[in-house]
Formats: sequence, structure tokens, C-alpha cells
Amino acid sequence: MRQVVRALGWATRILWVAIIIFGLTVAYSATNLQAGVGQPQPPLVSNGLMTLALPFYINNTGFYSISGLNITTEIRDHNGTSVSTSTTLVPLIPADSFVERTHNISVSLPYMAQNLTYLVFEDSNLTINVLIAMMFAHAVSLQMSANTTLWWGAPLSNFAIGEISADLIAQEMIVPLNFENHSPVYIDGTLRLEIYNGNNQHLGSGMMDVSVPPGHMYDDRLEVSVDVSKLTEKGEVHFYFETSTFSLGPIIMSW
Amino acid sequence: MYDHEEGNGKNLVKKLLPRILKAAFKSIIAFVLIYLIPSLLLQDDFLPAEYKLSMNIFAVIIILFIVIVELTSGTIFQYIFSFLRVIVLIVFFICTLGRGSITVTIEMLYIAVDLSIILAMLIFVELLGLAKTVLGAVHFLSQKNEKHFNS
Repeated sequence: MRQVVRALGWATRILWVAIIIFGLTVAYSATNLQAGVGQPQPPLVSNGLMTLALPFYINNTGFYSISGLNITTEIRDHNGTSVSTSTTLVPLIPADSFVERTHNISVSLPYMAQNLTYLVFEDSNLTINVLIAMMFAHAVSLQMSANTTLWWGAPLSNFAIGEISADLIAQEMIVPLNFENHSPVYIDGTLRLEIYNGNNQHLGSGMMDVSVPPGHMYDDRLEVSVDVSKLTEKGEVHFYFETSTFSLGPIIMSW
Repeated sequence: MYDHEEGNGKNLVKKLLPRILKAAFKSIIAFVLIYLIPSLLLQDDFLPAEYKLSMNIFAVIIILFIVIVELTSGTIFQYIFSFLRVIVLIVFFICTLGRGSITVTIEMLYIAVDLSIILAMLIFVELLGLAKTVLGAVHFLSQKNEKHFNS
């Protein structure tokens, strides 16, 4: 019995010391972890995805490896609707090593044009939820989350159709159009208009190419050949916008 | 009579002095291990105030019980207080670590640390200590009875 009690006593002491040393070294390693975010790259548009590349580094100078590093950014609009979710996984960062990666925050422009159309026309504040999860020494898991807001510049901000006039001699309707490209991407696409009279009869259609650099204003007018015999005092303009990355429309406006 | 009292006092001091020294020595080691080294190694702002307080309470519990157990060593109270220490520590760990996770909010940043594995390890070690205490108490009582019968 005495030996059993002694053995248990020593086992308890040894385990206690081991736990204290382990806890201390994990805490010490966590305090010595160095991490940072580099300069974000300008957004790139490819295959309908607008991608913002965010380089980051982690210098693990601690005693233990970090496993399952997961960085997730979720962008939501002011209604709480999800705009995009992007995840970067780093399976293992061994002890005493330096890791550099890039977290890509991607926004699907076709999805946005279809489901969050207002973001194409209206500037807004988007909420970004950042979640960082990792595991220290395969034993202690750590989760960090933070919220921040991001100003969203609409590609077709303040889109408006001016006063539509009709040239009865030339059998044309003149549609003034203007908008500002507040987004960081170059807008290069085709504008198409379908004009209808008050009885919903098709009067005519027109197309024009549009190229607007970021931060620039577009202000032009589109001359559309129409059948003046069907002209009424009021009607509708159906607006379509097509780029290589997304299609939008019909956006219906009255005149 | 005075000689007799003086003799008793001397005996008591003789009996208690090694225990007090042992308790002091063990307390100092425990203080260095569980309070001084963590305080030196970890930055001041590493732990939030409420968890710093828990760390201090933990150190006080450990040192207090080391002193009590050492002073009562050789009696059944040693085992009673050892048993009590285990229970107090298990309750303390569960209260401090909750379900095994601690959470901190620093301005906009929310941090959650899952320490359930560490909590399980701590409880396991304490249960081992509990088994040792119970077996030690059984052994102590059996030895005492044996002596009683023999005399």
C-alpha cells in the first residue's frame, strides 16, 4: 500500500510540474507570436470575381507548432445579407518558422448583380466579420473575431436617366445617361436600352459601348430610333448593362 | 512542574519546527513555480484582470493547503485537508475555466481560448491526487490500528 501511495504521489507531482511547464510555455509562445498584415493589393477582376488580395505573415517564434490556422472573412450588407465569404487555410506552421500567405477576399459580381442589385447603384457601408482560428501545440485552440466596416463604392453610382426628348423629324428619342464609377474596377461594357410607350408597346432600342475608369463620371446621351406613330406622353425605359464579368437588367425606369 | 512544561514546550517545538521549515520550503517552491515565474515570464497585459485575480487565488489556495497539510502531517487531518484541497481545486478549476474556455473582449476584438484539454488534464491529476489521499488515509488508519492492537 505504501508503495502505491508513494507512486501516486510522485505521479501527481510529476504531472503537476509537466502541466505547469506546458501551460507556461504555451502562454509564453503565444505572447511571442508575431503576425502582421501587408499592403493590400488593388482589386483584380477575373472570371466574374473581384478579388482583394491581403498579404499577411506569421512568425512563430514559440516552442510549439500552430495547426489549422483558418482565416475567414465574411462580408455582409447593412441588412445582414451575405455578400461573400472567403477562407484561407494554413494547415501547419511549425515552431520557429516564418510563413507568408495571402488572404483573398472575393466578391462574385454576377451574384451581386443578381441578388444585391442595389449595390451596383448605391454606395454603402459593408460589414466585414473577420474570424481567425488556430490551435497551439495541438491542445489549446484560440479564436479571435472582429468586426469592421468597409465603404463600398458602387460601379454605377447615382445612375440616372435625364429628361428624354423626342426628335419627330429624325424619328429619334434622345436619352441622356449619367453615373459615376465609385468602384475600384474599370467598367467596360455595353449599355442597351429598350423604350416602351405607355401602352407597353416597343418603340425602339439602342446600344452603346461604355468605358469608365475608377473614380470617373460618365455623362452621355443615347439616340434611339423609334416609331413615332406609337409615341405616348409617358412610357418606360428598360435598361440592360453587360460586361465581360456580369450582366444587369432589365432595370425599369419611367419617363 | 515548570521543567515538565518546559519539556513539553521543547518537544512541541522539536516536533513542529521541522514541519514549519518543511512547510516554508515547500511554500516557497510553490510560490516560485506558480506565481513568480508566470508573473516574470508573461507580460502584464497578457491576462485580463479577472483571470489575474484567479491566478492569485490559485496561488493562495495551493500555498495555504501546503502549510496546513504539512503542519498536520502524521495525523488523520493531513489526509482530510489533502482531500479538501483536491475538492477545492477541482471546484476552482471548473469555476474559473467554465466549460473549458475563457473569453476576453478587447475593444472590437473578441478572443476565445479553448482550454478544455488543459482542464481535463488538471482534473485528471487532481483525481489522481484524490486516489492517493484516500489510499494514504486507509494506509494511515490501518497502521494506526495495527499499532493499537500490537500494544
